[in-house]
Amino acid sequence: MTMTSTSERRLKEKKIGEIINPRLIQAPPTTSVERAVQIMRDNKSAYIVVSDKKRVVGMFTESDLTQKILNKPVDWARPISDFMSEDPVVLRQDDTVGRAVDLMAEQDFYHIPLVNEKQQLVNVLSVRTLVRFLAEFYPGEVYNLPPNPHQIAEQREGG
Amino acid sequence: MKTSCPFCGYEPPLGADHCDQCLHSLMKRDIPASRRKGNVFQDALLNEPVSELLTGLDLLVCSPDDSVQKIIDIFQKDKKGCVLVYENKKMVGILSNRDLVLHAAGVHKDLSRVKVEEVMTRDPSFVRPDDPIAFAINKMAMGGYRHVPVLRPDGTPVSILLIRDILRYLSASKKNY
Repeated sequence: MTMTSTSERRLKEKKIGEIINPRLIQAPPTTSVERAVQIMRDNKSAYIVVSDKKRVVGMFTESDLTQKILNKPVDWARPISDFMSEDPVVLRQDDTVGRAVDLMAEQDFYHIPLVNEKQQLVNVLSVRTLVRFLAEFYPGEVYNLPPNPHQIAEQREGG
Repeated sequence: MKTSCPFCGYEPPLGADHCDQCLHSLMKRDIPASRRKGNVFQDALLNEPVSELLTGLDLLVCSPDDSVQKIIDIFQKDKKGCVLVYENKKMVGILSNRDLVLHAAGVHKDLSRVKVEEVMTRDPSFVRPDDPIAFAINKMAMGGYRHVPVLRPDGTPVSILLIRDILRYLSASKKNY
């Protein structure tokens, strides 16, 4: 497929900082699993950015919990640093949205911590934010759809 | 004004929704055309069906009576994070990592005694294999879902579409121009 449209170019130019919403769930590496689960549930969050004095040290996600902890003889008082993914990929707010799409497409994570020029944690980009942005990006295609595409008229019109 | 069936040439009554002779549908599924002409990518989002993205690799199905512990065992063994819940050949729910974190982990101590139906999300949105990719993006954006079931018109499952499948598609399309 060849594409020459402006919207693809815009995807490559649009900055992550322009689309994120200001919500960041973070906790220090010493946080217990018990507490982490509580934080995720209270915030309806699928991730925790594990940070130590504004430095990103890891990501603790839903799948760390379901893959490594549930059903296993794990002491929930242990710190999340034992289960997190260490030194995750980070991006800057002025990296492009297209780069985030590529990263999430290739890797198995759905959240990317965002850092400033001093490598300090400032925000996070979630796949949810990304897809909402993409939906707004192609509004004619995604939102201007019939409310119920599977609807079939049961009777002939009129009468 | 008379209209004839495009499939058999028979002339059904004006406004009929199907041809009486060959039973072909005369209804159009109104999918709005892209307002930006010549935009290949946008047309692709609207015209390419969801089935283009499906691998079938991510389809797991369980029953509402299965224990949550059993599901987690399978998620861990197969590195999966989502299962469709079927009862009497009808989809009644979906259970994902998210449901496990929000409704099971730390809430119930013994997950072997918890049934899938207690923590699943009921009656999830779904798409059909021939729906345009834009439909699936719409569902995911509006509902905040990371998984959307793909079902045939008779309700049987085809696959589970991951949000990552969409990102892969966008990522690959983007590189090709």
